[in-house]
Amino acid sequence: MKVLKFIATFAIMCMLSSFVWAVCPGQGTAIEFINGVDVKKDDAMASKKRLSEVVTAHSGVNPGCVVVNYSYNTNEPYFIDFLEAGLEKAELLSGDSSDFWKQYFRTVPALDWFNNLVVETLFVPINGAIGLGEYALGDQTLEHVAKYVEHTAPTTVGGQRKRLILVGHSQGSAVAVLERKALSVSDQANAFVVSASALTVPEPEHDRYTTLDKDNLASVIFAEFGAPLPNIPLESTTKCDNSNVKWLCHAFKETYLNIPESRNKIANDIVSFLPTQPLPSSILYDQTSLSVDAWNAGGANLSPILLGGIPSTLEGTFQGSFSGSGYGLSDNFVAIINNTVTGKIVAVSTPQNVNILGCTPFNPVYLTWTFSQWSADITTEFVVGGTLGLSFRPENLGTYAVGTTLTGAWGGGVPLNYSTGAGWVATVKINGGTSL
Amino acid sequence: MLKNKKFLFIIGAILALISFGVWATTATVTWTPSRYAPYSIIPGQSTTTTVTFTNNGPSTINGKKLVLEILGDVAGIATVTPPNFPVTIKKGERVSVNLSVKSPTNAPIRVVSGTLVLFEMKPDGKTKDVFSATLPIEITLSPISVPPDPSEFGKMTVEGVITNQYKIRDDVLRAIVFAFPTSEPIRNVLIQYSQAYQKMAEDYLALANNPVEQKRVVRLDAKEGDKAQDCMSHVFGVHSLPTLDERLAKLDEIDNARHAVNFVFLNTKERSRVYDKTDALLGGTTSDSVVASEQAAYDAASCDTNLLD
Repeated sequence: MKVLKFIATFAIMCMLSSFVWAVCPGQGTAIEFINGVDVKKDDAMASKKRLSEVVTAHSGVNPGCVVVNYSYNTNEPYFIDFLEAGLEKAELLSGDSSDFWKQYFRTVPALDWFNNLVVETLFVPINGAIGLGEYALGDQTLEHVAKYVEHTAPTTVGGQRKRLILVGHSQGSAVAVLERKALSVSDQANAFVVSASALTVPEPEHDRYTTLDKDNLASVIFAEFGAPLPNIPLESTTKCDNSNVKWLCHAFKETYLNIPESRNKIANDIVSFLPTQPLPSSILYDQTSLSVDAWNAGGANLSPILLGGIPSTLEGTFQGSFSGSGYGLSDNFVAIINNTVTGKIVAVSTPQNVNILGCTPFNPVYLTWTFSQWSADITTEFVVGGTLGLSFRPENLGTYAVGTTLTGAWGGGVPLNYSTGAGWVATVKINGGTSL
Repeated sequence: MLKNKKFLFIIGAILALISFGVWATTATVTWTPSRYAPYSIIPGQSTTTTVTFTNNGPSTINGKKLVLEILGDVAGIATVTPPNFPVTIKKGERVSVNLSVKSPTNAPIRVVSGTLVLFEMKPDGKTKDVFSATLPIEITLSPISVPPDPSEFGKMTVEGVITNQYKIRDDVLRAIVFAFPTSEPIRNVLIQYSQAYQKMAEDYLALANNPVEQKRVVRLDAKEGDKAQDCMSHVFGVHSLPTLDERLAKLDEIDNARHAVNFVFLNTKERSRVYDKTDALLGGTTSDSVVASEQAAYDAASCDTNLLD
């Protein structure tokens, strides 16, 4: 019996390993949680599980296209002073070292002595070290970065890079920013930081942050480090209103992913960086609202993604394609592509009113347009949208060499709550080229 | 003159005590074992054990009427068969006593404590005095077999006392069984979790002279801990719940169960220090990747099949 169970388990594990990304070629996103100083590895794992539930419950997320991991950020040698002082105090007061851990794991409210120890022996020394540039992350940085590179590596289908969203809490947010900077330039373009109780001032194009105004520990700690002001006000009736729960109300898992206001914001921030970000149907086909700037403000990634190879001749056609995928069947899909071309272009062929009836879940559908001839600096804009819940988001934005063949999947469908689907404006620029 | 009288009186009293054997006997009777705490007893079952006390001297216990009584809550489930006390108990002589315990049919899981006391009956046949050191008794009534509480003795080393088949500390196993007496799958996954951390602590200590190997092995052990946590999601049924709030509440339940084990696992300073040092070796590690839509199947496959039966 045990042998059969073992074989069955082994078979399932083998199947699972082959399933990773298989249903989502070219569109996968790795979400990596980086803990702060306030959790051990087990609770980093527990935070990761909670984060995964929160993210995948969002209507804008295709669970087949994301993985959620933790990257464990240990805080030695800073933690040891805190531990020793905490164990000493716990044994002095109750004779039981478990009392330290009960407060540390937040199963009982932290007492004043514990809250004070957190600030005095943990946060202030670590933050001071960061401020002085003396904070050493050690080998773990290299290990994390190696993992991130693996997660952002181009897929074999379409050659498209995956995205990386680093979710940092507290001091883990500073680690996230440092580790993103350690990535290659091309990987950095695919990496974003979403922070809770952030230590660092975010870069608007790449970072989002969430800090509760009742996170008293953050307000004590961050005041001198120029961290962002709290942006989630809470009613005084919340459990974080009690001064005795400073430690609890700084917690990522127990508080930031529990209180609906912060939980929803963190989920929305993450989704804003996903390739499948839906936009409200109310602005569908609205050229003004759907400008690239608007898209930027919504958190889209406009980084260039080079697909395919460069033809040997500069003459030929520019062929781009984008794909959508969705749950179930759809019909009467309409793609509207409005070309606004600068520079010289002789002819452009764009598909109109494309019917994708029969689209099965996650099977890409390709729309193709052709620039038969072009000159330098061509810019084209287009809007795509679906009428029955499919959405497309062009990923291939940016600057390309003349003659670049763009093939593969663009965007991906997600189940939308909007009856009229969603749409985006995208801009493709082609620099250089052959004068006619 | 007065001082001399006092001195003679004290000397006389001491001689009288010695002649009655009180001085020598009260402090020198010892019990074997020194504490009776057997493996748990299943409801409805009974067990009989022989315990002994030994007169360690220095003199003979002579002509005293000794009686045995069980005191405390344990008196409700335990009986003692009085031995046929000899008139004299020479130095070094052992006296065996049969101690029987019966667990009520529907007894809830609990620990029942008390003492076995050796009294000396006074000549009036009514009053009695404690004659010797008592034998502490601690009986665990449990539907699942658990080892006795190793008590303070179990805290003397990081590795602790391990007498159970799962190779986790006896006090940790007891905490798991007491927390979840009615759910075998939950007990099993917490045992799986505890095995990973017990092994991590033992490997950390055993490889103290080889830091490179120590780090490598501890990290492998930690992966087993991750698998146990994944299995918990399966066992607690997280993925089958329809709403996010229900799933998050279930994750809270898992954390509480896990922490109940953590607190016992970290019940000494030295164990806390070893835990912290092993944890420090885990900086840089990441969880295994699986797309979110496959997490439920992955979690189910993470359970230790050896613990399923």
